[in-house]
Amino acid sequence: MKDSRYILVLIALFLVLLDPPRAVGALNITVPDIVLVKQNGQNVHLYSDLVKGRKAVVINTIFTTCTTICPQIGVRIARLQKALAEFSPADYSLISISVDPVVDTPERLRAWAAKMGARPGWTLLTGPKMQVDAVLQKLTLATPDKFTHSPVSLVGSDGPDGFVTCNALAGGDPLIRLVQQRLGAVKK
Amino acid sequence: MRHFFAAYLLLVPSLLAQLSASERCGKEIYMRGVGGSGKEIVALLDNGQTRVPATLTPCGSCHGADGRGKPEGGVVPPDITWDALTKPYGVYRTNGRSHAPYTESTFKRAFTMGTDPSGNKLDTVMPRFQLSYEDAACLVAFMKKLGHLADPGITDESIRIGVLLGPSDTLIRTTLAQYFDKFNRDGGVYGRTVELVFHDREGATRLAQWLNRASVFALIGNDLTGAESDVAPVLNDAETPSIWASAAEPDLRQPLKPYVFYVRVASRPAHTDADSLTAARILTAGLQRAGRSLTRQSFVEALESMYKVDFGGVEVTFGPNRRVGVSQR
Repeated sequence: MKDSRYILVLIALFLVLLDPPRAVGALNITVPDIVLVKQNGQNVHLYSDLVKGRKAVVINTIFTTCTTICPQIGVRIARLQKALAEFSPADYSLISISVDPVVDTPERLRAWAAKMGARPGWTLLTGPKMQVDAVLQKLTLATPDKFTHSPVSLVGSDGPDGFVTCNALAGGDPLIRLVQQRLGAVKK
Repeated sequence: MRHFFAAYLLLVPSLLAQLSASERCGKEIYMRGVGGSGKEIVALLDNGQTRVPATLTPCGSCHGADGRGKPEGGVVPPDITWDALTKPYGVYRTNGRSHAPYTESTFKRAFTMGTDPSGNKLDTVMPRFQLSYEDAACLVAFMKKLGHLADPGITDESIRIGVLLGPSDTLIRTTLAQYFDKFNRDGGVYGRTVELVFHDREGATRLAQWLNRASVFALIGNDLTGAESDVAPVLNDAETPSIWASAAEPDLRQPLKPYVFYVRVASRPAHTDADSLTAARILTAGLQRAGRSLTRQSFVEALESMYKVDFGGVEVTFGPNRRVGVSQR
């Protein structure tokens, strides 16, 4: 009797260890279809234009006058995009939303993106503050003070798998692996 | 010998602002990530897997122009002034890491290989830099000055402000002199008084030469009409913050010239005299907002933080994208 209990515990442990990392801490997030403004000045619907149909979606927050962590987040997203060279922007979507939309005009976002070497598939977003704030609330990325915005990337896809969070400042490998898993390039 | 040297520096404050050639080169590396040897400096992140030009992540963008660190998003860059790094009894960080005092060679090892003098790994956010021996030596030379350098025109007792006016602007000259007289009598700003240096408005080349000599912290002027595209770049290159009462066609092309502010888009003489006083009020309010550890950078940021501030009936707003204080109707 006692032995069988041990065996059950062992089986449970084994199952926990087998469980893929993506399932840990999956967030209950629905990407809202609010209209924001892209770095080229065009309006986009966040869900239908940038998330719908994508197998991998990465969302994080930046602002262009941020000097300490945002360039670091930016170079890591750029590295991620390089690692995704074999995929088309129809498969994945990298989204950086400004937490300082009043200052971050599309021109500022464009200049920042150029500095980081962003290519199609990486969209930077600003817009009227009300709309941006509403999006950030829905995505749990809202911050009362731009200097304390959380260095977190949401990684997910358009589907039932949901989003997980990933430290946007940690080494780029876990982020790249998460995204490649979503794209089916590596086993989950 | 050391005491003699320190006393000498106190007597001649302008010497402090002067850097040797290698220190200047080190400052370029620290602030912009640009080396003097012509070889690109590379920043390595994620254990070397991400290679980016150091211009994207230069030292100063996290550690600040004063070396004391600009915390953001939970990342707290440590104080890297030479005094802090070389405390003889060792250094205790708030994150629990402690290490022996740095020396020149362990300091070089820190920013190239990412370990402190006691062999602890530095934070992953801290890039490891690849640079030439010459550039590394320049950076070390500059580090020893970092945090000891006041911007031009600042002493313990005073802040020197240039005033650029035309030769016939005697009324506004008197008004400004009276305004700052009262400002100083009322206590000045954080123990410092404002010292005015009046200078005739002149062409861009001569202005550049004067700025080199005059050692002023910032400028105010009454009207820049006709010289916007000549003078604004000179002021911007000299990194001298300036507040102009008016200009008919201010140079607001992107990228903005961050050091040049205007009260209003107008040409003389509509508001210029009244707005010159507004420019002076904006200047003193900016100095108050910037606080005691005043730098040109903190002063510009203080001006940018002004949102609908009332200066005697004139409502002024500046921001990172906005250099004209009074909105046009």
